[in-house]
Amino acid sequence: MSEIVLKVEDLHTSFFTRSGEFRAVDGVSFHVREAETFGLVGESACGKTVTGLSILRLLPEPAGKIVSGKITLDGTNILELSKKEMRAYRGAMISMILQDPMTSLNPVYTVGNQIAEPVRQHQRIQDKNMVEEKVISALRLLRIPAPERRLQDYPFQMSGGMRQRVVGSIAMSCYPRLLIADEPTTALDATIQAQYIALFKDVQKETDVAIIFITHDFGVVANMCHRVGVMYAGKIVETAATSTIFKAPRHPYTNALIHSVPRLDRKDDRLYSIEGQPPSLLNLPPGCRFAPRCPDVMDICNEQQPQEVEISEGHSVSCWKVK
Amino acid sequence: MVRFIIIRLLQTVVALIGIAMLIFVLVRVSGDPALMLASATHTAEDIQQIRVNLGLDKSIPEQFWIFVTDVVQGDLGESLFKKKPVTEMIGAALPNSLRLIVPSWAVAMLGALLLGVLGATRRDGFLDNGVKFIAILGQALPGFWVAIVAVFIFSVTWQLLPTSGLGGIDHYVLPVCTLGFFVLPGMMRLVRSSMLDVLDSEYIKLARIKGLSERRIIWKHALRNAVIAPLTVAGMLFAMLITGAVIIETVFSWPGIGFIIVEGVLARDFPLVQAIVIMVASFVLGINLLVDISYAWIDPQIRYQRT
Ligand SMILES: Nc1ncnc2c1ncn2[C@@H]1O[C@H](COP(=O)(O)OP(=O)(O)OP(=O)(O)O)[C@@H](O)[C@H]1O
Ligand SMILES: [Mg+2]
Repeated sequence: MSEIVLKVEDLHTSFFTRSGEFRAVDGVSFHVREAETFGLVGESACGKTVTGLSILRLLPEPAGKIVSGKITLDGTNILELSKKEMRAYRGAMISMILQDPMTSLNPVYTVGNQIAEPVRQHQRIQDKNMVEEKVISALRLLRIPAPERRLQDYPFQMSGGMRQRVVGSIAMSCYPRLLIADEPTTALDATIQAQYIALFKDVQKETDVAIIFITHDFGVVANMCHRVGVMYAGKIVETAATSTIFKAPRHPYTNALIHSVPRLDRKDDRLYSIEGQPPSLLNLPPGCRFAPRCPDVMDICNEQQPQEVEISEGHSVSCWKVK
Repeated sequence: MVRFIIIRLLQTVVALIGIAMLIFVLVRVSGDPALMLASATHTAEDIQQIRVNLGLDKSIPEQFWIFVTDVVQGDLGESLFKKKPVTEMIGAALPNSLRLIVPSWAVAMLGALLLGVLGATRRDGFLDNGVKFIAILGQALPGFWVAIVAVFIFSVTWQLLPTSGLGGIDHYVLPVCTLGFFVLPGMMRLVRSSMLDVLDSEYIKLARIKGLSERRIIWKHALRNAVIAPLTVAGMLFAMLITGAVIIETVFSWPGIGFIIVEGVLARDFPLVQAIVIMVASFVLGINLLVDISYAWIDPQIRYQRT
């Protein structure tokens, strides 16, 4: 098996606001290997983006803080790096793609200029022709047609799909070890979405980059991810290989999520949706966080938090039913 | 880009003709200079004779036509009272006004940019609160009051700076600072709020993800976007300074345009007032034209749409 690139252990990230401490990420552990895509799935506000931003140490200041935990990239605990050392990791070792391609590029600078920045910054190349060569190869990696002619273009001259490829080029320009893709296809329409996912599989084959793919769409998970972590209210409740998650989900929340995916092969197009709301992060219940909405709830679920159990190689679940 | 400039140039000329007509009519309905030139011994016929001499007996459209043909030949008329060509009077006063307005504008804009950016990046810190305090002060206090208080403190009490008139660099400090203070706070607030919006945007997040330094993020990625909106206002503020200069020139006895237009209006000196207003208007329109062109240069989206 290939090398582990990123290891997150018992990560706790909170937002300290006037109304109290919001435990946005509350004890998350997972790892990603070289050339592997790990999916992070869950309903809105369960803490997916905050997990990604914690890995980059770019939480919104001053409220967001990593309270405890360990994040190791290629053996280095990045939480112990100085601010300056951390900046040298960003864009070079760890990159991220944001959700909306229409707003994530700077409107007043050319595409070439924006891709060249991380190259200049991290690879310390000053020679104009060499920088341009790197920029073109980054554009080519993302299959942008006629890259030489794209350098002088501004973002507004490009379609949404093309812009998201440019964002991908920026992320991949220094060949990072880890790429965090935060719902990169949500804003794109269906055909473009499928192309983008296929493209990233190719990019991964060529570069062996480890990818954390954040999404709430199980269709995308099936297509893109090797393994999946299902998140609920700041915790990962189930981790398994993608095929296992679809064939034998063990957590009632995973099961409910999978069934809420619309399927074309089924006659009734009524969506299965989960009743109720996730708990407030300000006052979490003492027991399992999913208990109030769980169809299989037992007495103990409301009293004590379930521990994570590894039921088979690479398949862990936190649920009293599984014990 | 060239087409864009030509179109804006034509618009400017049309606006200027409109303003010339308006001011021409307005000064003529405001009063009769013949009555002011005449003394008690003049008869009604004498006064009529003065009107004929000045060309005021003709209809207003006729007078305007004569005025325009003269202007095209470079003749803006003669002051009714000083008996000097108005161009000569303006020529003497204008450099004095510009010497006051241009540095005031430059100091105010640079100061506003710097303070606005620093305020936004140290949000709610000590500096930001100071900046907000200056903004409130500047917008609450009348300009002439600030000028008089400044004269009292720096010239009368501490005797550091001269009270009035032209002279060396020390003569500039008070007029330039008080005039600049007319427009600095408004501009500073604009820059600050525009900067805060930009710093919240996704492309700034992406710039951080790329590992760029905070300095580069602020002064390269954020600033250029943040000045787009305040830039159009910067031109308008220049026009405001021209009006503000009337007050400041009076307080500091600064022999500029503001000084002589006040005299001209009081004496119903048509040719002088007309000429100054038209000149100031072409100045302001010219500045707006420059602003639009630099706007197009900063924001590529405009540059590309209008070519
Ligand atoms: N700046 C902030 N201040 C306070 N709370 C925040 C802040 N940013 C995020 N949170 C809280 O952290 C929690 C997790 O948010 P996060 O953005 O990680 O959700 P998500 O899983 O990415 O959801 P989505 O699918 O909507 O993107 C939410 O409850 C949110 O309210
Ligand atoms: Mg999110």
